[in-house]
Amino acid sequence: MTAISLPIGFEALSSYVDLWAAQGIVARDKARTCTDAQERQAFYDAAAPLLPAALAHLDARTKEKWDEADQRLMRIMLSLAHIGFGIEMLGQSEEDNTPSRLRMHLSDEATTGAALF
Amino acid sequence: MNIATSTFRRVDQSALDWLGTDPIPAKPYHDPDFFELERAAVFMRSWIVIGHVCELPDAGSFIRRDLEFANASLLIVRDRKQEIRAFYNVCTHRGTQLVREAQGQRSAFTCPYHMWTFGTDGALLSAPDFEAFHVKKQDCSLPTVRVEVIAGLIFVNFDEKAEPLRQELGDFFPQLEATPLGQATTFLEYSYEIESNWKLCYDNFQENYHLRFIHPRTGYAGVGAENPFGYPIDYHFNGPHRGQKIWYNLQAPSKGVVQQTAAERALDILGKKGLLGQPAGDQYFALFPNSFILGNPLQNFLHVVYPISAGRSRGVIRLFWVGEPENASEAFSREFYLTMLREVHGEDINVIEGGYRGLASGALKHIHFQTQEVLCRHLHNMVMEKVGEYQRRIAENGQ
Repeated sequence: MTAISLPIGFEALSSYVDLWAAQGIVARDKARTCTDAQERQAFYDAAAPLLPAALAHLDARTKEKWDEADQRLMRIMLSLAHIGFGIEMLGQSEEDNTPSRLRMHLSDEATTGAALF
Repeated sequence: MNIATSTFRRVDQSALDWLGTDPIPAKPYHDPDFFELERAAVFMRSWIVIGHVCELPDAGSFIRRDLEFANASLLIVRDRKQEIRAFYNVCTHRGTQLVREAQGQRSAFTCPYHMWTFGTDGALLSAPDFEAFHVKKQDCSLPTVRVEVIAGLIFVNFDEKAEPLRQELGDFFPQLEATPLGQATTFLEYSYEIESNWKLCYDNFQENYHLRFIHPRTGYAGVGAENPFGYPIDYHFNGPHRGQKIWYNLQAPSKGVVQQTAAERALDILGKKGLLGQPAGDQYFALFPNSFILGNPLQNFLHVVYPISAGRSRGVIRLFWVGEPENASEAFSREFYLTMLREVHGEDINVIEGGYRGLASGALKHIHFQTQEVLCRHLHNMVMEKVGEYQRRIAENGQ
């Protein structure tokens, strides 16, 4: 299997690209919902320590100049916003909260005109 | 707790005595007959938020809004002169709905049935074989609904005699205009449908008494040793509208690197954009009858509770921002705060529905609001006042 490209320094996240580099907030929320606690914790443990470095790397260039690897890294970090919130603030309540959260239907960016990452 | 830094004082009942302390009749929170009265007396006579100007960026931009309480579909359009107009979404020929899309951009609106075509100002431009009709074109314009824009938000009112919203808002008008909402250019949205009367749902979001029980984790920064229930610092009232000044626990510790990074990056960016320290930054507005606006630029949201029936409502929450994310940090913090807000709102759904099921059983004749649930009491008072006025008008004039 060919490793999926991420910017240099973030290769440790390659195995998380397929699931967590999802495009759009609806897809990222879906990734949160369809994974179990173990998968979410493994992703958090790998990605959270790299968050400051990832944002520093991406902030160094305007988003128009991001290549595909940068875009993947951005989406992984946006997924981390969901997963990190769950792990840091909900803890074991994540599973209990999921049905109520899913009743809050997210509109995708195409309908609101927000930027799509 | 460091007593020296304690700043919280709960609002005393004596400042709120004018709103009364009696038990509240339960029937208005579930009775279908009362809902019909409210529909006519409140919703058909009040300013209702239905959108934001950023949804209508150019001439010809439109949004369609279907409002169950009015049994009406509306077409909100930015016309060729850049004016925002609201029309009933009906062809004046035989009533067919003109627009099926939720949003878009057009230079004219053509009815699919017989091709009557209307301009963005609602005027009938053309109609096939119009000479065979017995009416003038100028008498066939789209029927209008009153519209006002405050802080970028588009409000409509079905009552032609209603006081202008700007006037009705009083001191709230400049405060709302000072929120980032007026400058907002983009938003993310989530919505929900709930088995509850609209007031029961709305009340949940205007009292903090439940905070520590329903949001023990997500609301942890809203409570503290000096304010264990997370009560507001102040309440304010302006005609039928009301609001509270929110208390934040500035000593609340960070929960982890993700939360801390989101907060730090958001504050940095908002500071650079000049959006911090605004006068309405800690204000939570409850605009009569059914919307909330949080002035805090970190979560500058609009929440509207639309009634569908006596026992069913729809909530729409939009988190607004000024400009597209300038960089990755801003995109990250926006996604984090939307995730957080959505989770908090989701946590309330089950208890609201439980409350409705309990009241709809008819088991209670009264419910009770404590001092710090005074905004719920004020809404009840305002609804009863509007319903009373309506019933008197009907008795006197038949309308």
